[in-house]
Amino acid sequence: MIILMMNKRGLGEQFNWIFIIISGAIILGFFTMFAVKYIDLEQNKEDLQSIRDFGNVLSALEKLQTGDNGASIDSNNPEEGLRFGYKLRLYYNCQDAEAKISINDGGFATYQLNDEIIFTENEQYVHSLDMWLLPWRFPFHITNIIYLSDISKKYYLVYDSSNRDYINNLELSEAFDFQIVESSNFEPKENSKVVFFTSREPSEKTIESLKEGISDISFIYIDTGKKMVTFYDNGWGKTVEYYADELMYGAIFSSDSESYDCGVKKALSKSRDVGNLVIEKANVLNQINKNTGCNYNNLANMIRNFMAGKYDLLNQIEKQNKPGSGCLWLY
Amino acid sequence: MNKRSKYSKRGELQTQETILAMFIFIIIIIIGMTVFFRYQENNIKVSAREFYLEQFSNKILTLPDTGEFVYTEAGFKKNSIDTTKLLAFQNLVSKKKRYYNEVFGYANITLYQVYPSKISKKCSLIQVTDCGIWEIYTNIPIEANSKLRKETPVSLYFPKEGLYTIGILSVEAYNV
Repeated sequence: MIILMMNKRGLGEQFNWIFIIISGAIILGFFTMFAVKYIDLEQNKEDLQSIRDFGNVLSALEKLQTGDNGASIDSNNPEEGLRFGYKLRLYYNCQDAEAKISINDGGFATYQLNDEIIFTENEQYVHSLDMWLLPWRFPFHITNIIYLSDISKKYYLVYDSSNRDYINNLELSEAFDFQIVESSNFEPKENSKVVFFTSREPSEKTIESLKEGISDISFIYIDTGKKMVTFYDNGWGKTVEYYADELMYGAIFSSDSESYDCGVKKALSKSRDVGNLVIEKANVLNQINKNTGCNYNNLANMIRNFMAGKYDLLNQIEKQNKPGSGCLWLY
Repeated sequence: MNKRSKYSKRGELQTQETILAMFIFIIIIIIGMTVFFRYQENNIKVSAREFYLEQFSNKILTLPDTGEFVYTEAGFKKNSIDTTKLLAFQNLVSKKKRYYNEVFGYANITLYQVYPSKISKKCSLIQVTDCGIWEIYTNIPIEANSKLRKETPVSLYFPKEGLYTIGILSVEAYNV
């Protein structure tokens, strides 16, 4: 009888312990779930605030009146810069000439790029960004092109004897870490991009030797004569044509040929929109300005051909767009 | 025997009470968490909406500086809206209605001159001078859930007269 009672008491205690463990686990589970969900929510809030700040900066940049060299925001300078306050994954996605920027998982933290033309890496893990804004005239003002980069990224612009002057005359932003180096004498470091402006595309063997021991490095080759850009991805890939220096700079900041090509197409699409308007303005000027000496029609035709792909007309258009004798600026 | 059965029953009762208390506690936690997260999620949704409104406001603020509207000389921006471009844009929109409907959606973009004088006549290719309203883009839906209206002051430039005036750019966006 006593044994039976002791057994029952023992069973009761065991049951108590099991009960405590199960209910403890349930409560602990709830609090863990709460903590995880709360962190997730706070992350979403932070991401949303970051994309809002980013959007506001972009709008301010778009509106900014700049000189020929544009304007820069150098995040290494403590008095300026776009700092997020924490490290985040910034994604740039461009498909069918439609682009967007998103932070971490995206969701609400997504910024649709409508008129803005941006060139940047597809994925970056950053706490702050350097920015460069360059007005693009092609030949009329199209928009301000924006280039974004991780502040710790290095850019090696490589020349040989044939391109030394060209590369030295490039008017590059000081916000980025550009290093102009000779092809025969340079050693790239981690988190860098090597841009070859050399007379010939470097061999794959050369690239592999430069890559040795470095994990985060990429290469592009820019043929300034043919105005072609080639990206290296386990071998030289598809070439993309560019039509202006402002677009060529875009290649330096892009991840791959697809993303760059999409950016170029988006820029050209915007240029066609503005071009169509300039042609229409020529019609308006013809109607309001009856001065027969003003040849707006000829200029409009040239712009039409220019937009159809005859980019060699650029200088001629620029020469013809001169006011005087009662004529007005077309653009 | 009776005493033992009494103890056992009290023990069972205590266990049942504890389970019930635990059950109620868990239910309270679940309700609390649901309410808390709903509230937080709503906050995020409100912030997201504010962000979209900000984007809309920014778009309006930057509209006068876009290549389509800004007055330029040799491609250099001059910080004013070119009134001849406004007329050109009106024409272009009527020619390429489908394309611009895709770009601007349901919206109404109008520009009013307010200084030095308010003129209620609409500007068009027929009425280039002595007018003060430019209906740049109009695509108003038959039925809309909500409407957002924003206005911003702008500088207007009349290239033929070489004259600067002040205007109000009004943008109405419709949510269908």
